[in-house]
Amino acid sequence: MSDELIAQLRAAFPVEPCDPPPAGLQALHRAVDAEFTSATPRRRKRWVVPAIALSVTMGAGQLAAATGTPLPKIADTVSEWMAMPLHMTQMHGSLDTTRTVAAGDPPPHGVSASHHHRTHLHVDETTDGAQPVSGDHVAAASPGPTIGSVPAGAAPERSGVSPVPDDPGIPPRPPSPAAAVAGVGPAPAGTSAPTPVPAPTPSPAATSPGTSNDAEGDTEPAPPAAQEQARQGDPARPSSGGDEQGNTDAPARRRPQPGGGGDRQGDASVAPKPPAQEGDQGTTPGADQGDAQG
Amino acid sequence: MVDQRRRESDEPALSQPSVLAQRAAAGDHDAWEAIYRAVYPRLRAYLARHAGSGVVEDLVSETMLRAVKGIGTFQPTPAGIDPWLFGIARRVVVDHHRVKERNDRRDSLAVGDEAIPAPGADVVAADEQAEIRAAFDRLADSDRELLELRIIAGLSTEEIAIALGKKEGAVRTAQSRALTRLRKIMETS
Repeated sequence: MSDELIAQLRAAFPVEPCDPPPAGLQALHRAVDAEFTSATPRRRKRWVVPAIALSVTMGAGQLAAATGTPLPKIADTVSEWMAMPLHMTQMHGSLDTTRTVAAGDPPPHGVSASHHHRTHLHVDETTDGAQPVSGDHVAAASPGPTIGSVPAGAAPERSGVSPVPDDPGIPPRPPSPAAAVAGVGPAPAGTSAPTPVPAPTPSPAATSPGTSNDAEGDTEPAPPAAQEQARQGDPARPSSGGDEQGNTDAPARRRPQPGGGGDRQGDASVAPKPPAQEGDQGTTPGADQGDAQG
Repeated sequence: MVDQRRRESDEPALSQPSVLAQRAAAGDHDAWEAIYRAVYPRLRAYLARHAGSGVVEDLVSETMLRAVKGIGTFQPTPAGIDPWLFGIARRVVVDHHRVKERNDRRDSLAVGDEAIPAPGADVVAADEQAEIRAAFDRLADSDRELLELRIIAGLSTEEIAIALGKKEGAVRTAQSRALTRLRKIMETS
């Protein structure tokens, strides 16, 4: 009885034999090709979640480094697991702490003396024989001029601090996006917050054109042409670059740097710039711009 | 000549469902094409009944695309790959109706369901097949789906159980009850 009814149903709903359309076959072959012959997407998918997790962890680590907060435990764990520091600046900072240089050594090209001094102070402050929180590093194709105004033998602010120049052999790192997120940046050009720190004279190298300091004080490499232009002292080019988002609400731990990175949207609330020094002509355009827009 | 000989030697292997599935899982184009050609008429009829002839080609392609992508999850059975394919087709239909409902709600248009004609339309035709179709359409969804897999997709009870993810005994009982209800509907109408 059931079989008879099923037969009736089959007669009522006939399935006519037909060939699939060529387009369907082509689509099928394309799908098979895509699935089996090209880079095995299923294997790729396995790495999607770990890759996202790693990216988030590294981003969090960089953000923590930029803001000075302790690194998250997971970031430390991943960093140790990968047997590498979270980013090159930390490794660089760690390397720097192993070296000592006599006071008065020239800062690397493109970094102001105060910035140079502050950077390594900061590295040492935060480095207990381990990775620094924020190790700045600079691109130093050639050493800058000697810091004339820094008192010879000037003692570091804390014992054990050994300001050292950065290794010029290590290439510069582009500005960290985490720094922009954190909103911390170098002091605007031409602005100098009042500070009890003996203000060293900004060297021309510190304000050479084409250098741009990001929030971590990293130095953006200038193109060769720009560097050449800088050596010739082209005043038309704005000097120190820097955080264009112009956040002057940097944390208190960051000491302002005279003649440091320029903030093009300079805040008028910050202290006035220090008097211009000799060989500081590269600083002037950027500083004026920051003040004018501020 | 060599190709022809190889093709002939492949024919017996491709006719076995388990071998076909294994070769498809390895990315064999011939195996996939053989599966597609074998299942296409039934798959098309099944999907046309559920979603209408206007989108049936798209749904067939979608079903095969999902099958290719998900062949790694296929558990080989003696029944072959057909139950698994119709299981995918069921989900394609569900997704299609979900999207269609959303679009209909958005457009505020009452679009008639082309796949399931109104019961009265076929009854007016007064022939036996139309009467059966009309009675069939009055079945509950679960009964109708079960019988569609049996009648249109041509699956056995065991294969239906695989496609629906149920036990074979439960499918057999449900099928028997669905046929009983269909018979009652035909008698009352």
